[in-house]
Amino acid sequence: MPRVRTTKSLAKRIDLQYFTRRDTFRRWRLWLSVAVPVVALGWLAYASVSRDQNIYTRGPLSPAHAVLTTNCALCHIRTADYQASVPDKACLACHDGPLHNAQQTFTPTCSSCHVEHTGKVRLAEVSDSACTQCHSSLKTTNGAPTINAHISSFDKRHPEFAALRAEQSDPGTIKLNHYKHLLPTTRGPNGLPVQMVCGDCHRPTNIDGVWPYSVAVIQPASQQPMPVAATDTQQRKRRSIEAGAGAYMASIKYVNQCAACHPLQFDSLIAEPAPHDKPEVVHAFIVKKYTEYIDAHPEVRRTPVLAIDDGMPLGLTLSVLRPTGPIVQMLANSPVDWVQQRTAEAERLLWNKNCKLCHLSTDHPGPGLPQSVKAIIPSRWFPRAEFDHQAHVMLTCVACHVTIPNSQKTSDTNLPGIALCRQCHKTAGASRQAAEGRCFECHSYHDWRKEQRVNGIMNISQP
Amino acid sequence: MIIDRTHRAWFIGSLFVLALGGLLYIPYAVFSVAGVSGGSAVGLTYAGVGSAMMIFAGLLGARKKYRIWRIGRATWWMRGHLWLGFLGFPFILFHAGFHLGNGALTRVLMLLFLVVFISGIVGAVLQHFMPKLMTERLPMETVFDQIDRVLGQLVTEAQQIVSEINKGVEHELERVEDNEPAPKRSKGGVAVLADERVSTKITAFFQSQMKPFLLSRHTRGRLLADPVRASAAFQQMKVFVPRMLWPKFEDLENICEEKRELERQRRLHKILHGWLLFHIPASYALLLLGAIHAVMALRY
Repeated sequence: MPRVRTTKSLAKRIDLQYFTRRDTFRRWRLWLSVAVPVVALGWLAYASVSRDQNIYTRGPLSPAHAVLTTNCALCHIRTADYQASVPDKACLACHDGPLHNAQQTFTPTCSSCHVEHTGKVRLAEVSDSACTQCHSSLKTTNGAPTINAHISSFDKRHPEFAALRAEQSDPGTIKLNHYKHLLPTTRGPNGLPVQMVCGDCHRPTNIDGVWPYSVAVIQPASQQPMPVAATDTQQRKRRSIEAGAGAYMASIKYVNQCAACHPLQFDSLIAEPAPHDKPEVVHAFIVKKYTEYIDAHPEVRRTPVLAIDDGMPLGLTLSVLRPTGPIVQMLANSPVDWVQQRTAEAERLLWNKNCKLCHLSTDHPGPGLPQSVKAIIPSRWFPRAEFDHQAHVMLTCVACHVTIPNSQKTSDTNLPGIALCRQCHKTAGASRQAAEGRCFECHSYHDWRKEQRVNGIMNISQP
Repeated sequence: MIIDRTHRAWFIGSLFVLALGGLLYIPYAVFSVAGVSGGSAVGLTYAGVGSAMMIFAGLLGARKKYRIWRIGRATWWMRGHLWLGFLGFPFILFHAGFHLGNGALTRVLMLLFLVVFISGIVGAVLQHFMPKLMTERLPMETVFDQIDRVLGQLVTEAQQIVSEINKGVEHELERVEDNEPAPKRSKGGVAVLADERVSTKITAFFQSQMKPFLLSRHTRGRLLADPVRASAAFQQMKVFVPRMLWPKFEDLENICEEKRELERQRRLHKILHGWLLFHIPASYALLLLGAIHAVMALRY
């Protein structure tokens, strides 16, 4: 008789009370359901006992605030109610946060822009929304804004740079022809042709070394080579520190970039060139030199002074020292007279030729010294933004300043336009395989010119 | 629970809520000044909605505990558990800005939620095909908790069959001693080796192979765990006994097959219900730590 299994026989094998007892699975489920929450609570309890509140943070502090990690209460100030958020006064206890603009209609809280507990980030790297919450539809307390009122991002609706907008030109007062300077036939200090490159005259401030077209002579203090660009405001100074040395180009100074090729030699009798300084300083220098010379060489008084004919175009002669046209001979009656005659001719040369080559309006029709025209060579072109040359060091100069090789006018603004910047800088930055393009990359919210010193509030426990 | 057409309303409703949450998230992520933050008004709203869904899903356990309460049918609660539990995860992701979080508690919470979410999905998927698979593959399926008891009964039954075989062999020995004619070789069998060694062999086989196999939970590698090798072994045993005893060996083989089936049931049952060992404890821990997270986050 083969083995037969009916439903009844199968059912009989089951203990009818089986459901009153927990099976293995249910037992495990129960134990784990108790154990896991208990372990979780134990973890929190341990953290509480060891006074470690960091488990509740949503992330580590930024490197700038990492030292405060174990001292939550320093920033999280408990108010009368349950909350312990971070009020502005907690930030302002250590940092001054100057107002953005006196006409702003809205002032965000510190923590709404500078979001902490997000790990290793620079808190200054705020989201574009922090800026565009106002600038996408800008309103000011005194009516219509003076800048573009609808900027949503660098990619969209950001206006062209101010210096490049219509009817804007280089405000420089020093005449310069970039095209001529970059020609291979340009004559150098010894009269030999040289091929100048951008770096001969333009260098970031952090690069030391001799300028190739400078002169190694003692110059008045005002003409000493400038090691760094003039940071004429605290705003720029702060940004310069943040961006690092090399952010800006060193200022153009005659003594650094021009002197070797454009010497202020005024007489073959005097070896030293005239100082590149104000007319009265130059005048005093010339008089002094001639006086010294006549004292040492009284016989020279009998030699006629060579003077340029009034009617001769100055542009046709290289120098009175090598006259090629008609000249007027003058004899001096006394050493003083000789000095006066000689000085008059030297100044005539300097004011009307050497100085005029670069400076505007140095014509000197009447007696007395000419008015000194203030030299303006803009070293910063963005009035409301910052730029870091050092960060762009991998590029050739003409990659951005594309118009320079053909620029013949001083008024040419040889800045790259916003379209060129957008080739690399995009709002989403690295996530779009591009350079950073958010607002903070160029703009600063706080007006650091108004920064006040803050007296610290923290102490260090003495070892 | 099988997700079928009866879930259509839940499905459409969930899809709508998810789409709504997703659509709101886009402007929130793009235009929020401080970036996506769980502490912002929108972030807290997402947290509130997500938490409510989680709590509802968690209440299924209570509903099962108190079956007689008139608070909706169990199937309704189960559907709610499935769909709202599923929806809770994306809403918490919206709340967290799709980050796992950098704080210890938030990371643990997201890890727990991942465990709950994934184990829940695994469970829901398993519920779709495992019961059918078990019905097909386990005709002798029994109550999981009674498997050991049934196996004990199978041992007893096998022991009884072995006794019967031994008795049959003894009977054959007696017949041989009485000079009765020996059975001729027949198809599929050999002449009976009718001596006392046969009973010893069969008993030894039962004690050394079959009984340990029936009682052991770890049968892998055993002779009788493999149906082919088991069949061969029983064929070898049949050689020593008269043909009339062969059905007894088939019974023994059948018992071994039932044992293999019960072990298969045990394995499938573990798969079918094992996910609950992750899902439920992690859910409790998640609800507990989530409540603490809410309290602390609202404070700071």
